[in-house]
Amino acid sequence: MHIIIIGAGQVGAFLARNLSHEHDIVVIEKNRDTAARLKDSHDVLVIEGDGDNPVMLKEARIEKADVMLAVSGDDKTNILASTFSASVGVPKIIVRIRDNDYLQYPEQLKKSEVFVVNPGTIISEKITSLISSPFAWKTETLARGKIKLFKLKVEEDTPIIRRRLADLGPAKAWIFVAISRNGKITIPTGETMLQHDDYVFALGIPDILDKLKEMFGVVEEEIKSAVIMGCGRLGTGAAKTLSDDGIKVKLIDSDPVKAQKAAEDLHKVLVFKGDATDSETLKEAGVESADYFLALTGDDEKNVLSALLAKSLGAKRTSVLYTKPDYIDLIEAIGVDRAISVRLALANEILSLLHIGGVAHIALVEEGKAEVLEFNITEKTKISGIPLKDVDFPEGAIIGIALRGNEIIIPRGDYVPTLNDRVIIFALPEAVKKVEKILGQ
Amino acid sequence: MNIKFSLHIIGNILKFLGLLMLVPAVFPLIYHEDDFWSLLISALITSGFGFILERITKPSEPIHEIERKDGFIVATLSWLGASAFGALPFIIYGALTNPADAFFESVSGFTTTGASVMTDVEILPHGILFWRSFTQWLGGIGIIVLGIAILPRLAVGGMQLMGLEASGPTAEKITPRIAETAKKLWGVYSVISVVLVLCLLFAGMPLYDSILHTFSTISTGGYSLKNASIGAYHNPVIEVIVTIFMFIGATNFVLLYWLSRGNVKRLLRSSEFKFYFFLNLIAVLLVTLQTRSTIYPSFLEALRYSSFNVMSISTTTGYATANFDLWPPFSKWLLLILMFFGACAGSTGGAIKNIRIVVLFKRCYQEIHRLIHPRAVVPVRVDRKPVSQEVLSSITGFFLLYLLVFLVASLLVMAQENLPIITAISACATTMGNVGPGLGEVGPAGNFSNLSDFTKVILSILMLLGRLELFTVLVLFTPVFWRK
Repeated sequence: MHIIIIGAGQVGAFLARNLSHEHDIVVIEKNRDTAARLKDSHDVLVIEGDGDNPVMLKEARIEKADVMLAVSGDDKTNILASTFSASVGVPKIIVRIRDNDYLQYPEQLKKSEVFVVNPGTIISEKITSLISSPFAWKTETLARGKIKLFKLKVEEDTPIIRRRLADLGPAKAWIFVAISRNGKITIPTGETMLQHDDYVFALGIPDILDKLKEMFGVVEEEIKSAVIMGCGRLGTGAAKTLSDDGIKVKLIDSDPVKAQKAAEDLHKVLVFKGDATDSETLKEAGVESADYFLALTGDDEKNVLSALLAKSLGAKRTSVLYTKPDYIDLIEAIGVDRAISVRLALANEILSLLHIGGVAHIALVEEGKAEVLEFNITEKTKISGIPLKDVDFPEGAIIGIALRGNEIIIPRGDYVPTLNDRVIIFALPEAVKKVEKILGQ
Repeated sequence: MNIKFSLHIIGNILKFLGLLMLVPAVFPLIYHEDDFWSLLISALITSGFGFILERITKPSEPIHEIERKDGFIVATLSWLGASAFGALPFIIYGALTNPADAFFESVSGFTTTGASVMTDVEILPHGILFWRSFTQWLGGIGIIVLGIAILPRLAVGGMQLMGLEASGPTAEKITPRIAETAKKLWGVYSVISVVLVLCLLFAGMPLYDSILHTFSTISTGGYSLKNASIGAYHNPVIEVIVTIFMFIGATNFVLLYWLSRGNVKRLLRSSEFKFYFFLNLIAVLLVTLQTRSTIYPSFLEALRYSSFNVMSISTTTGYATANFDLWPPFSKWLLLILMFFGACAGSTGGAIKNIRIVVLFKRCYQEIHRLIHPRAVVPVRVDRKPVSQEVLSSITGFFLLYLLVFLVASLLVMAQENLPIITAISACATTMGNVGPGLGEVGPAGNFSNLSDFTKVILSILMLLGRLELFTVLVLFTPVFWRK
């Protein structure tokens, strides 16, 4: 497919890299250095110029495009690019819009076959799910909310440590699809034993979280108060969502203008102006007794430092926003409880909107170290009607869950893929192509 | 840096090169000549070496990316390797017994220079002659571009590799995928070649001669199967056809691609193309006017010889239909200057490239403008787009380095040989610019066979340096490159 991406920022570059293996990608980027860097490192065509300029779009052969991803940092560029794409009849258009006000009119946007992704909404959802179940390291919502993927950590005192997975008994509505050990993801077998500091990925219906909590021997305390650093769009958005849920929220920002504006917009939130890497400000905002500290500014380093400071002052849990992909393994290793990637969250949302050739790449796990794919079983599917044990299923991939109507099936060797089943696959990148060969159209 | 992986890729390319050596091996079967075994053995040695190299350097885990530093090694070694193994048929057949001679001939082929150490090519069998011209056709658009088109593993990092091999300051993609771009370029190249073969046939050249001359015309190479080059046919129609296609070969292939898709605007808007076109026009006219009054009796005859030979030099092809060494000093000096200017970026031609000359002229104008209006902000523009500071300084740097390498090399040649200055200078300029013939003893009437081995090696290195545009090769000789 011919895909045009507007903007080679963190989100655009990430999407370009992940989609370029299978699709023809043209990226329009106005910053010369960013454009040059992308040109050097990826097999994509980079055009230097404004993404809302019709001449540039023409040069990117927009009339031939199958998908337009307008994901630059500028709302107006994105909107103009998408309007132009709609007028030349691009079949699928996805626009990244930061300003919540545009979301007030969803019908208008729907009408023109345009999908809107809004980082604020996505991050707010992420934060809400983190806060409602702090035990899960990461949660991805899949298959329109029917399925969730949880990332859980194995501690020294976890009851199921050093036990063979096969001994845990047949699970009904969930399955461990992967283990991340020392930053390397593998697909476990029945013989695999969990070790200290492993992260396991569990795929299942949303309700299994309680069952998992029991297995991991976790008792969770309810979150009552939170301190958020950063009065930008993401910070104020999260503050609003949390305070609406009845959590006592305090906001900090070093920019007096931003702090003032946040204080005016949010009624139930107390806003402080000051630097969150300064312990006096943090103490004043009551970090010592806070259940949760969230650092949501656009500055990775500042976020991490303030989170570490907050933790040392007594905050029970901390989460930070980050954008640089190299930081993923680092942030959680040095003591921040959860790292949230805006880029990954946005990219996942966009990938799940791109139903390509019957396959939905519904989520990228750990910066793309693994992928979750969704397939429909149709008349053309090769393995339709063949029991799973007779299929030469590729190494490095596992069918996690099959959905038959409203029924949830955890596929074993006797599972027979049947027409209209939807299967959710967890796969390592090198196995994705092979899986698509077996299950694709 | 992953030298093992670089060697793995080189092995891959050599393996393929060996297969290509089998193409000329059909001629001994057709013409009942004795060069079949030498071609077959050369192919086996090349492919075998490539196969073994590929095997022993096979990475334990699949590698998907070529690192930046490895790119320089791959680009330089693949050209060096192709040239070295490409010399095998000449040695094994016995056409050239001295290894330095054979290497010179092979480098001159792949780099599309066309300078020869053979005194009589007409005695060679068809297969060997075919290989000699075929190397020019392969080297014309690039060994690496060919590699990218057929080896999928070169996709990532291929853009950098292509940039290192491509002529001109920046490489351009025409499709999102590099492999697709490489295939399209080869498509354009092949189609033009077929058209040229048909044109030459139509003009009365035999089929075998047409194919071989196509190889060396479109690649701006200049090897001929006649001792008297294109002049041997005494046919003005052939000369006009060859002139037109030398010019096409020296044009940016990206522009030709767009032209083939009906986009004429890009070609007409290109500052480089316009400059190149008028430069040729003026040079041909000046030489015509001068030679008419001194050497050739009529205007038409003067135009015929000066247009062919001037454009043969300016496109860096190097055919000859006249002994331009006998032309008056002004004309000879003009040819020498054209040897430095060379062809257009993104073409099969060599030397400094006209785009760089255009930018440097504009840069000079900018300097003058700045003296008059010290506060004015005047960007250097090419094709209506401003040239970035990095590209400007890289062009200036390239120009200086080109002159520096030329000066040092000509000093070395003069230290070794007792030759007239014009011979030594033009030998360096012509090999470095991948042109072919020089002036004086290495002019169209002479050749490079009388030079010492030392000089031949120096000139071979100059050809490779010129083809890979200096930096790609020279970077390997800096301590910074090897520092961990």
